[in-house]
Amino acid sequence: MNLFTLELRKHRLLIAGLALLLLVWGAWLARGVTGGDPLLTLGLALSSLLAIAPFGVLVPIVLARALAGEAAGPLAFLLASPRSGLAHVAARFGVGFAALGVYYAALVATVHWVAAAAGVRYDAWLPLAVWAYTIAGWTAPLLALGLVYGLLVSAYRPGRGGQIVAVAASAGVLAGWSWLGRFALERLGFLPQLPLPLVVLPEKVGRFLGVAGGPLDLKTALEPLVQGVPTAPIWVGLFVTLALLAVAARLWEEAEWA
Amino acid sequence: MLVELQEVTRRFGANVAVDGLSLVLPAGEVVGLLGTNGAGKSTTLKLLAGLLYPEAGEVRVEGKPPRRVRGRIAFLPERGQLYEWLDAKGAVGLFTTLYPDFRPRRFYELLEQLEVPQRSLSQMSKGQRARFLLAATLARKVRLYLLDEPLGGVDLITRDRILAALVSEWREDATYLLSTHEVAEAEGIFDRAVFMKEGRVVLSASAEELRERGQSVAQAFREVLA
Repeated sequence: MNLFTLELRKHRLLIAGLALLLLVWGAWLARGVTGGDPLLTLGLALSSLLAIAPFGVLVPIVLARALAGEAAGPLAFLLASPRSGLAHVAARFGVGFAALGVYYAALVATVHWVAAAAGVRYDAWLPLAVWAYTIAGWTAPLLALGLVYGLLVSAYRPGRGGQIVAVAASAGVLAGWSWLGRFALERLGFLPQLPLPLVVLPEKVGRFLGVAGGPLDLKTALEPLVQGVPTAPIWVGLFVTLALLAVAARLWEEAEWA
Repeated sequence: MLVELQEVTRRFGANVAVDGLSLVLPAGEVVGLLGTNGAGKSTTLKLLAGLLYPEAGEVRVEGKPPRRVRGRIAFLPERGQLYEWLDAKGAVGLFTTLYPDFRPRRFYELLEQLEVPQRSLSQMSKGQRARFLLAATLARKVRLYLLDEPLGGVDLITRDRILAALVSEWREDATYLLSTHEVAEAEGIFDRAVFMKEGRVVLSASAEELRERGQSVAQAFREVLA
């Protein structure tokens, strides 16, 4: 059994929980598509997506907590091994990344299916791009941050004062995230951009919004405002992830484990 | 010398766990690290395993800091745990991943010798788990074995099995350093006994030296640490 398999099995309850959540959500939407109004179901799918997508945050939280809980248990055997910390950190990150990768792929695929049933047309690459954006810009850095946090807590066991600092630091993380986003969009505009995707909404939506004359072409409507979709957040997200993983691996190898 | 600790000090807050400890151990000895609770035995073993850093002094294994020779040190923690669903086959997979020197065949032999049942850890008793983890530790081929309380909390029969396994595992090029309270049961296997009190070594004597003094390890334990 390799480290990846062990970590996967260790977190099987969390993964099963996420899978169940997806199944229930998918079944609810499928009933709306087949037995109700697909366009209305698309609206429900998009609004409920806002509620269901943040559940992915559970994965980094659980991984971080698991590290703290293991310091006196399996971790002693893992820590004493001559394998590099990067191998261990990569196994944990790999499990989280695989779980969340599949989770968000399933979310995107479900919305894609409902949108197709509702008569929305768009470029074939759009779902993949949305998924890549989510994974690189949000999921991967968050997971890596969770590992660093978990390792810091397990290695240094902060007291009450340290926990207050950690909570304050969490607010700092949000500010840092926002700053990085602005930095990516404002200063890294020279990085490649994706073309504006073609998105055509059915005529019914156009009528509802008071736009007459057939299906609503969002690309044509947006073109005067924006020329493309920047990929800078993806590159920044990947860079931050790698930097955090390097910190986590270093902590793993260098921290004390009482 | 395989193991060298020179004037090593380690505190945890106000508590001085190891206080100016000096100790030198050659290869090829089974060494008992003996002392009462809080004497600094576990901290000493963790310093040697590279899990802790000394605040003062130097720790050397094969002349290098322990973290640089982690591949040649096997450490059995006092409250060792593993993934609960692991059985022998799963443990072989894990330990061969973690440790290139792990010997699966020897592991199975040790499990048999220690009479560990073929089931997952979650279905084992405390003693069986302890033996399972000891087998996994001893199945590595390294120069230094650090065993923290391998005899703690197990019955007399299990103790005998563990001691027999240790004796059968002995190699000339390796040193076995085990901390224990079970002095009377274990004394037959020690080449050397190191007595610790309040973070210091108060006596380090070979079995021969103790015999010359006309003392058993247990008697020396009572005399030195009382």
